[in-house]
Amino acid sequence: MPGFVYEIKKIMLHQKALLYIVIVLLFSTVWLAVSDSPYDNAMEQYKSEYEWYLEKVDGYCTDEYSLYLEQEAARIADAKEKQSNLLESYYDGKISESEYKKESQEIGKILEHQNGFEVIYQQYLYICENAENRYFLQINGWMGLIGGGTLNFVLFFGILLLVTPVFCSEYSCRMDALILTSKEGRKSSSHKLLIIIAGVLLMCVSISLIEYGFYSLKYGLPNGNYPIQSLSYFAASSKSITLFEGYVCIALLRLFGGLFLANFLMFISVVAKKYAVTLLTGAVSVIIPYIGLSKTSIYRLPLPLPFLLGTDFFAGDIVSNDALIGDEKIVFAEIDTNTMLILLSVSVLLCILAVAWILRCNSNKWQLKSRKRRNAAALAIMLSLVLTMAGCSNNEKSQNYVYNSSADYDCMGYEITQDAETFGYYLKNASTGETLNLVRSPMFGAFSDEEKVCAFCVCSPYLYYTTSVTESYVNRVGNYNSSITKVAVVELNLETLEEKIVFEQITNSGRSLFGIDYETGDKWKFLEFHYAFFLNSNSIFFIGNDGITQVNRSAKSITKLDIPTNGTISFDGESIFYKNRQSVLTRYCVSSGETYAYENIVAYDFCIDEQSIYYVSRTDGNLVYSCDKDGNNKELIGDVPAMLVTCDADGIYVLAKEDGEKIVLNKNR
Amino acid sequence: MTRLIRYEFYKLFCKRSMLVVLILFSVINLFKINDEFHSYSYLADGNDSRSWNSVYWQLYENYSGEITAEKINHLLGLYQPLADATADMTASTATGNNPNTMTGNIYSDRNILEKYYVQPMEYFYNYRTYSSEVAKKAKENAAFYKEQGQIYEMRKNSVIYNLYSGRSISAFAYQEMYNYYLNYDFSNILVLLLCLYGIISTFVCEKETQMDMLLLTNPNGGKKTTSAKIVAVTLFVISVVIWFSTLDYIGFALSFGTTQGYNLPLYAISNFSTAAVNCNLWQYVILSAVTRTIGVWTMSMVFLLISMFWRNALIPFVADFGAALCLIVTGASQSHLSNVWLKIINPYSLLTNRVLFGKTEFIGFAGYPIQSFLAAIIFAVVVGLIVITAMLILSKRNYHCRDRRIKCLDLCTK
Repeated sequence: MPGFVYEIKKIMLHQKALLYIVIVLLFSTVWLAVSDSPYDNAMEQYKSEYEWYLEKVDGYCTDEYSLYLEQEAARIADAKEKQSNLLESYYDGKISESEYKKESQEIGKILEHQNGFEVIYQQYLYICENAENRYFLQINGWMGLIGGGTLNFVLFFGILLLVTPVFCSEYSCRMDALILTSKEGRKSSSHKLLIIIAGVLLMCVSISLIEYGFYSLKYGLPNGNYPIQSLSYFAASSKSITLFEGYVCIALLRLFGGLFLANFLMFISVVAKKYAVTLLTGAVSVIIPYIGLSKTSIYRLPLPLPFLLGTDFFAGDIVSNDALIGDEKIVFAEIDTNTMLILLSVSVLLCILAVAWILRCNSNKWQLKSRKRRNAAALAIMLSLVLTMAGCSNNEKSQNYVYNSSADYDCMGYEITQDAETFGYYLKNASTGETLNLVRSPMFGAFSDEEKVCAFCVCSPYLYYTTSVTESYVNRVGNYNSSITKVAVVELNLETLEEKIVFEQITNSGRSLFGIDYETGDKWKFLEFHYAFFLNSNSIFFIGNDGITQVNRSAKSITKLDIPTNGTISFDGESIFYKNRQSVLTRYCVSSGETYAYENIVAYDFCIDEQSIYYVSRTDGNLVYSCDKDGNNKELIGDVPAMLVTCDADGIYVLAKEDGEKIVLNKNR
Repeated sequence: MTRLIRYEFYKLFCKRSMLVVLILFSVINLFKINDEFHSYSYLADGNDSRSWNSVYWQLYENYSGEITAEKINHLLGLYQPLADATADMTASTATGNNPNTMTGNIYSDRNILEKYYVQPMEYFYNYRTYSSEVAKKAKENAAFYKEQGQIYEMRKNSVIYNLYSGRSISAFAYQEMYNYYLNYDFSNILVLLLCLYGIISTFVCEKETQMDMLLLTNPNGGKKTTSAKIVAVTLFVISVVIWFSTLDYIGFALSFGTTQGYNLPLYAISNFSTAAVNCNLWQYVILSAVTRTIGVWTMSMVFLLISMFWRNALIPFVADFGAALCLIVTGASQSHLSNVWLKIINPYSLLTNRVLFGKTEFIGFAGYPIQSFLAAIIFAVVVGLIVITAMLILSKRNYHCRDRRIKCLDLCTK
């Protein structure tokens, strides 16, 4: 027994196994917290609204649920239309305020959870493909927990650090021969094996529990008894297991993978007796198949890697249709249970053989002369290379900046024009008539139609525009993520015509690195659908059909703002002005997050400048009024019923309702 | 010194395990290259008379070489009726021995022509127009910025003008092999692992056996040995990169069964349409190997520096491997973005050098535009030299020996 204690002391303290285990667990936790993003962003964003519906349709999709969802979809569509008609009728004076309030209250109740409905309806469409084994549930927690399918490098490095020195340290100082001459010689190696197995078990179990705890706390892991096919990652799986069973199986497989790798490393160290060879073999046995082989091949090899990955033992076939030759190509072939059991059996056998060999090599027999043991002297931990992925943010404060989505761009004497044939954008000098390419890089869009300018925003002396660029590399089926789309915000100095990229982001959720496909969540998908944007020194606000998304320029965090985008959107550097769903002009302060509704301003259209708001009043016969930004000093400025109002530094431009005539009003009248 | 370097080289790298790893990695690499061909190329469908492979090479005779109006008309004469016949998607999709088709099916005929002849030839033909458009815009920009007094922008656009004016692709040739060759990264990992394995024991093996102390007692010990080791490692890295670069090229040529297209300009590969250099594909193969060597050399020097401080290979291997993975992952994930500095400071960019050579990008230095690949090479060399200097400074000296020599000198002078 003292021999066992000495071995524990040697491995855990002198060889720093305990320290490595602690570092691995700490690093795993930190990495998990830092790198995690929800698989379905909308589900997280509208969690309460989604849960409201989930309470009604939780679990198996019955006919009753289907009917309910279809009826709800029709009810919401109907309510949206009614709301719009009701508003029109009210402002046209066809119904009284009490009638309007009563009805709008009823409609409001229907639309109260509409964002959550969008999410659950998407899930319903997925479930409809195979309602038997796909249930309604919150997927973000489970997707994070078992839908990753990528190698845990921290665990891999941890095992390398833990296992390699166990025998190699003895060989490097020739202690092995000395041990073999002692009475406890053979026991020493079995003690080592037991300690390492315990260490690897501790690491794997702890990591699995940490992950479970993390996802349970962050998203919740409800309904563990639902079929694993409820997650799209396992959509085509033929295995009848529940989510929780899936988690336990994957954790156990990973545990076995860890033990397999540990045994393999010890076997190599006993055979090669050298650190470098052991480490290289360990790294090669995992990394080379991981990046060099297809997933289908990986999961059919008796190596530690498939068990360390684990997830895809439960995934179904992934088949892609090759558009060019019309063939179906199997991207991933499901591993049936028999194959999995055979693979597991072979691997267990290999492990047993490795253990037997390790013990045999350390059997007590007379060997060469021993040498005095010298302590190894590795005492410090290496500093890791920290590469900051610098975001290209600009923290200069913008001054006197006003954005009106309906207004033309006032580009310091330039006018933005678009070529009807090439769709290229140009800057036309209003005084000289000279035209310049808007995008200053001569290469932009020259060789590809997938490079285009999307939206503009002027903040003198800068003109900002967004570009969308799609690049593809290897275009054969089976390598889906070989094309990427990136959206960038470019800052063009209108005085010097120098440009620089201030924000850039890849929007694809599926990525590929050395053929390893992985998911990053759909966080940035909205960028592909933005049609306008504005910005201040801290954030960029992208306007899409489903709302405004605020992106922090330095932290790159996103916030979805509940602002309807069907009307004009204005921004004065601090507050966003918009019409709420009742057409009441509303102000949202971006720094405090407070919303203020101008109850007395029901606008058909509006615009702002640095001091005032100009609006077409619905309640005053569509006449144009102005007021201060606090809503006071209301003043009639146009006595012709109008449809639209815009403004720039010089004047206010009104589109008359009757004849469509454009009227210019002087600001200083 | 030459003898010392030779001994160090033999001692460190001419060992059986190294040879085994080299052969193993070479075989794995060749298998992977062959797999690339079978996974990605539509011409990997055998030698049947109706296979795409056979049809492509039969047609190749007609269209390869200088692009002429006659060839284009001939190709369109073959393609257009097929495109018209399949436009409404009502033609038979049956695959078989339709005698009026080349591959057994009219859609398949249209697709092979479109993918392998019409699209590339259209790109080749139009390239001159596109690039002259770029040159024209660059010239306009240069003139504009000159007026504005912005010298850097003027110089940058002048470089772009010089680079793009006169670009054209006059001949048609098979370029699929080069497309996949230029996008092949797997061997970089093998090279890094092999170098890591070779380098890790450079200092460690002597420390494990306490030979490092003994070496200091030798007149050639200390700094001379360290210098010899650095030179030996450099030679080893160069040999490994040359070997794998050659193997990659030979592997691709053998798998795809051809080296046709070697004379095409680099920008004939559509992913390199905005290539930073005007050279042919065969020249780029050499340039790529050289750049790759510099990148691997810099990373190896950093590996070597890290391994200097440890008595066994465990921590340096894990640290080096971890650092290499960090560089690889950040390099690969940042390769599509426009932040040129991140590409320049990451030596892995030199290994997957298409991220540098594939795009015309600049950084400003003292008012002069420097192309990203040049900046990355300079940066890597400077980092490598700094690391070597650090190793020489930090390497052990035989103070006792030096003191004795000084004493001897003193005695002699007295």
